[in-house]
Amino acid sequence: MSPRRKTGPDAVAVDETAPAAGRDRRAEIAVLLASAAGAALIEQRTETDGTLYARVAAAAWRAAAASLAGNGLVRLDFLTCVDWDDHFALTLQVYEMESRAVVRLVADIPRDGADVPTVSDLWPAADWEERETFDQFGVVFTGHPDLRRILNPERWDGHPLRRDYVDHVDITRPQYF
Amino acid sequence: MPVDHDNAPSAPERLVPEEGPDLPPEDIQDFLINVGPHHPGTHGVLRLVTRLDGEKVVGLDVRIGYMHRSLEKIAENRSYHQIIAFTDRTADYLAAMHNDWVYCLAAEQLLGIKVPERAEYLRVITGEINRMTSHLLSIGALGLDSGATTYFLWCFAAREKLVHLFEELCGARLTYVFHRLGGVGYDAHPGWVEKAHQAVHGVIEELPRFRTLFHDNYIWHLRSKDVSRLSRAEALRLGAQGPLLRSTGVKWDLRRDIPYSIYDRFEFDIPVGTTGDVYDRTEVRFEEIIESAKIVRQALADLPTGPVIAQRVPRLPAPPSGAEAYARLESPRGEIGCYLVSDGSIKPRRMKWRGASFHNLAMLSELAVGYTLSDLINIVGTLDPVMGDVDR
Amino acid sequence: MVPLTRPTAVPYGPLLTGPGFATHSVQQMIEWARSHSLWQMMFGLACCAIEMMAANASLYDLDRFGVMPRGSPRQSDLLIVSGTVTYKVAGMVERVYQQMAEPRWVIAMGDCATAGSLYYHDAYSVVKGVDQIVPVDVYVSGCPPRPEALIDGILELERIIRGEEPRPVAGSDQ
Repeated sequence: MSPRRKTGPDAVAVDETAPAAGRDRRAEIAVLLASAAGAALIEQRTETDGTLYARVAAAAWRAAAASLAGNGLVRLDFLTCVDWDDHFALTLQVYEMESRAVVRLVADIPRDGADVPTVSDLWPAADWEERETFDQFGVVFTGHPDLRRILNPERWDGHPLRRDYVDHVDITRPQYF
Repeated sequence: MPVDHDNAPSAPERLVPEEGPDLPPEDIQDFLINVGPHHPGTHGVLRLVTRLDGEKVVGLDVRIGYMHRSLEKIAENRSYHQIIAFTDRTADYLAAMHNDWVYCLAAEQLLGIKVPERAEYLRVITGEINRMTSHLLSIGALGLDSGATTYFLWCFAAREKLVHLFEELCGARLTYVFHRLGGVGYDAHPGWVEKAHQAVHGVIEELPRFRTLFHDNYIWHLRSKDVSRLSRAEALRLGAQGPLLRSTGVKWDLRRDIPYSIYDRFEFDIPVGTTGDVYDRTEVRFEEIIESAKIVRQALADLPTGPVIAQRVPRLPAPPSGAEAYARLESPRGEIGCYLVSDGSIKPRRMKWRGASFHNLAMLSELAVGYTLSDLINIVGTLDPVMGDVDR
Repeated sequence: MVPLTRPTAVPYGPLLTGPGFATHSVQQMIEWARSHSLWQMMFGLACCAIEMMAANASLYDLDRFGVMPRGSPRQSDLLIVSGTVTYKVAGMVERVYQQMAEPRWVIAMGDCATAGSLYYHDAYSVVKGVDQIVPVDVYVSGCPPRPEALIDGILELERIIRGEEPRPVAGSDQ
């Protein structure tokens, strides 16, 4: 053991009862989310790995996200969209370190003209994730400090991850099966 | 003066002194330069539009996307088995084992596949050896950027010993495609375990020499201590992960805190730092090499016999429509994750790759403002971004 | 790598033209010197860059061939494009190539720089081969190529420089 190693004080202690605590905490978070979203909460279920999956109406996106951020789920996993041909499923996943509770928040938004309030003030890590979602899907986040393309060149035409994206540059797309 | 590390402001204490010629203020201007996208530093194509006041960085705009290789779009047109060939090179090629692993964890969760014991052990062994090679390269490249060229050569020579192990196991030195859905693709031949013990021992034996050359070097201390200090609260607020987070004092490591695979069977310590500066981040990585070697030795000793891949994994798996899975693990850069959504067909509807370097690099503007240009290079080096992981 | 069909007819080396006299063309001497001191522009883009760094490091040591990595295009003769070229970075690749002084050579290292590798289909952002941007002298295939393969490519380039091998012409089957 090197004498130079400094072990700082634990900010997050390992909790042997973490799974149980996670379950209680998830129940608590589910209740808080339901009260924040109110009638806009469409569906809530627990996935096989313990993630709390909650679907809300698009109008309650900000309220639901704020209730999660205000209740200790400060670590952001990702924020993205899934293209289901008639709508996008805007997906946000956050978790809490102490209880290991993971929450996946989903809202169905229209493919074009969706005006989604930003959550980058709640989670600074969401800043770039929202830029990427804008870049790849065309979803505009109102209130975002600096919404511009991040992965594709600035003058790129179109939003590539949409299923109706036409690749003007390269047309060879053979089918595999 | 004792510093409150928990709540220290992110403004730097080691400021560049305000010296200079006695010109009237309106004659002195800031100027914009581009650091990158091609840069002799070894972190790939990253463009930092830097506003400089003399040598001091006063503003920073991080521009990425120069290595965007459309991983997520490609994954929408490949079967679940075919994606493995893309994950290890398109995202974070330095920790290819971990990338394949996290994708396989997500896909196995989606498809309900159980991995045999020997495969789990091989995954852990190769993952930890990959962590050692990745950290060696990272601190070697940091040495190269700071001018310690010999250290770079030493780290690469140590790394070659471990890369030869991978070559014997799966034929590749860098992009392995070792994992499969339900296990791993190649089995370790009987002599491999002994060679692995020797190689790991050979690397660990050299580490005191590395410490004497670089980590205890007075010049390195001058260049790295108190550069880009990060407090614990700031790190948690900004969403840091991996060695960057641990260097601030937060003892959070997914291998211990949200254990995946069989990590709960091994004994290892989590090195943490105190101030979160460049010196501490390097030290955390250096110590993690030693801890990874411990895990490898334990896993090699306990390696069971048996199959290395699950039976009856479908050739073209098609999970039910609407099924989702997310898997996360601790790669050398931090927490990576893979989110898979299925629509009932043989190709996933969406694969979202959560890259650790993406989130770490987003913090760069907070970390580097107020320090000099040469410190900026070191700060980027200790964030250890791999542009494949950032841009995917 | 493209296999050779026939060597060129130019003899290499000094000729004994008479008792006590050896002649050697100045051009050949210049090409000999150039081929043995190729200063390489460190142009690592992606995974192949790691193997290029490993080739420059002590085990596979490119320095014994005279190849030294330089950070600036003004100081280098050889551009080793190692890694995937995307549309966003393509302009920069061309600009770096144009900043190099002649004579300059390009090695396309790896499958991505050769032809786009496994990103050939469905990758909207990838340029399928760096020879769409700069003229390439040697293609080294592999994903990533071993450092020995890169050394092989550099030795092939040295033979091309000295005139022992013809430079590949686009569209020919040489």
